Amino acid sequence: MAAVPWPIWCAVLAVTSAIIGGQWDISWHRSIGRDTFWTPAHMAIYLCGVLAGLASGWLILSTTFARSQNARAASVRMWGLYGPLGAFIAAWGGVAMLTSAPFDNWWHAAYGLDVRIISPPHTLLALGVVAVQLGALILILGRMNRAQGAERRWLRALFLYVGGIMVAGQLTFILEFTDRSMMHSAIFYRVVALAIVLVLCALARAAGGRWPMTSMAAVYTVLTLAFEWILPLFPAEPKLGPVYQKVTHFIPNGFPILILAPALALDLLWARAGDLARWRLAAASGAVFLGASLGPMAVWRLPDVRSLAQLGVRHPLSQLFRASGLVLGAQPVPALRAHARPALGGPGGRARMRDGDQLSGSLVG
Amino acid sequence: MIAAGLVFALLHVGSPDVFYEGPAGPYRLLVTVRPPQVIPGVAEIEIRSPDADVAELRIVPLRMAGPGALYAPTPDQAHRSREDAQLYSGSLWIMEAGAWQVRILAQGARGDGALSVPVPALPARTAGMQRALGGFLFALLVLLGVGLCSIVGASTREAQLEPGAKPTGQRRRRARVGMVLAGAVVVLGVVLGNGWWNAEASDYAEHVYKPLALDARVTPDGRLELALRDPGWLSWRRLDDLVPDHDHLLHLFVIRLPEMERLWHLHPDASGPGRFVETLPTLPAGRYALFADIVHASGLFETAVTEIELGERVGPELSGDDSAGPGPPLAQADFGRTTFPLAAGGRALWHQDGAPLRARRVAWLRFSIEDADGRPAQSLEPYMGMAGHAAVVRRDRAVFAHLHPSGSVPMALLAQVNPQAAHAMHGQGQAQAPSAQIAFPYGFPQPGPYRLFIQWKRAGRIETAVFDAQVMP
Repeated sequence: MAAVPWPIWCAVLAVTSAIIGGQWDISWHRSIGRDTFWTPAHMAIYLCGVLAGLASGWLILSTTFARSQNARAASVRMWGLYGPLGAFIAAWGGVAMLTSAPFDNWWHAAYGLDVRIISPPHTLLALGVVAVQLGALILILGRMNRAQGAERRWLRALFLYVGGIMVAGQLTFILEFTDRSMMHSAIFYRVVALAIVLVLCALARAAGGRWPMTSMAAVYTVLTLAFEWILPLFPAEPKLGPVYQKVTHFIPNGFPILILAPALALDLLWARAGDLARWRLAAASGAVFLGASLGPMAVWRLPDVRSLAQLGVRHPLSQLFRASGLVLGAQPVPALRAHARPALGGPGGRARMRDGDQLSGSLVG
Repeated sequence: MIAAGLVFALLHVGSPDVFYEGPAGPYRLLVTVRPPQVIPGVAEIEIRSPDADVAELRIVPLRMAGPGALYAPTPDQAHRSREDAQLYSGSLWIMEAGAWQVRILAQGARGDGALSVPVPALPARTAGMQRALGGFLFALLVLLGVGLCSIVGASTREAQLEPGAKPTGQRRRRARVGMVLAGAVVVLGVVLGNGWWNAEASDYAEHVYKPLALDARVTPDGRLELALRDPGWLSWRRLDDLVPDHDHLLHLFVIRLPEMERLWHLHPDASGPGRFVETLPTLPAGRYALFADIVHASGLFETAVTEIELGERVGPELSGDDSAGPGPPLAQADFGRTTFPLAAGGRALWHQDGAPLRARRVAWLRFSIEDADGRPAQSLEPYMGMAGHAAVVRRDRAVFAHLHPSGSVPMALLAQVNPQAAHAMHGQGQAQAPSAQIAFPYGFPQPGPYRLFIQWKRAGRIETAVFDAQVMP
């Protein structure tokens, strides 16, 4: 562990900060509703850019101006500067993130305050975060490919951790398409597949070894469960009306999507792929991903677990959810987004809840 | 960050801020609400409390009607100004377009009180990007685009080499191809992103508030027919949901152009949904500006404007609440004049404290009526339930506001949001004779030359005084 250089730790911390900030900010907008530029959630996101800039800046400058040629010989060259490729990518990401800040500020002044995740400035921010994640992954990979033994195992673990964070970031970005109600339609599966399959497969190829995709899916699952159970421990009060439900704590963003199933299925397939032609493997992987997504998710949704729980039917998943929530003392909190798209509100204050009546999936199903 | 290219299309014509002076329980409050120009946006609230025993003021935004009117979030505390202990301020997020109210909760030595002020929240403009910001962002965009291509080139050329190895010619060629492809992707991304931005902008522009249009025509027998027309805005705005504001569905102000030397304040009768008809009184030929004030049941209040050429007309005497009044032509306007002679004897005075009027600063416009002997006039009566009415018009008609002593809010809406005080308010107007001092709270929205028409009722006659004001920036 001591052999892992500090810029890599810095990059890992950066991506962790970004995902925490992103999830926290979305929960903040659901629970409290309004915020300023200087909320802790926003600061956590921008800390990612700052840390990425620091780490990559140091790497590039120290490599360019080092006395010995060794580091430069092992680096790529861009614009007269030398450094690891990952550092340049992470630096690009940091600049993109910082560019999105004044753009987002202007966007709110021109078109209204935050009501959704996917907007042009937010997309630029997300691209920046993805670039920082990619830069971190490539930094780790460069060192991992040349390392051995315990150091290599540590680096591979870090690689899979950052990969899991990247998957979590992708799924956070498409949160508006992953409501439970949308699991009954094709859009859910299309968007999830677009968001994560490429990431999972590419990173699994780079990581090698056993169960790479399952590990990354597990990182996403554990991270999301942590948010699900930790966020409701903190008090929050809606500051935007109409307030249809009495909200007293932060509303988390939903139980993790069951991507463990397709990830596991793909890992099993790839472990047994052998000399299969790449394109055949690709076709089979696509089919397996879809089948493994539809199957378990469909089973868990049919019948509706929440309804079963309310009827007192002993469904294993509902019991697990309730037990896990009670153990940590979290309250099942209904999550409603009371404010809809701007300028479409009617005189009756009809809150157009685009996502339907969405309950915090972890605790009630 | 808001630059050229602003389009104002606002209530009361060019006067979006809401002013109201009224009771919150035992306390009197003068409230100014500046609604956001972009929705969702932040409304700025200023409250002036002349009572020294107010301990705390809290503010919360609510919809005017429907469930949104009932389920309020926790109120925010208004901050007391350090320089002026009577001034409180705060800001509130308004999330949807429509009719809102700001509720103010007062606490103090004399107990608790509440006051609600109707506030229209309307997307009023689209904004262009400031040149400097646009240039800065464009420069960063170029940096990011070139950076991306260079990163792709560097990674293709060198990333997979052993340390110390030099890239071969073939690698260099592949790197160049990669950079060109990356460049194409960047350009495509920028084009698509630009298209997305334009789609968002036009989507938003569709929701920018467009006031109802007014179509006016004169029938051969001398009747003015008015038709309100929706130019296309939000689908929930209707023409058949008008509510009377002190007994009249529509208040029509007719001002002769270009010198604004005469004002008529008429109340046409409804002849259908959004249709009105009025028998024109005697008036000379010329061009006239029409301002029609209406109040929707949803809580939205609007002023529809138009202009019309009228031929010379002889009509019946003005009766009921209809009134008219002459004034000096604009060409002879005197911004320093503070008295106006009245035809029935006496004069109206405008009491100014010597400080110039400034835009966007709320001030009391104080007037008094004197009889021929110079004493405060007697036998003043309520005019449509109020001590007086004022019409404030900017010379170029970019601003028009219809004011009462309580402020710029229609009484019908105030009664809707302050049901407990509704009876008291009307009682004040009708139970006792209004005094000869009439004051209106107002903040002129823009600098420039304005004409003020003040109206009241004395001994059964409705009288009008005309003043001119130069408002400084």
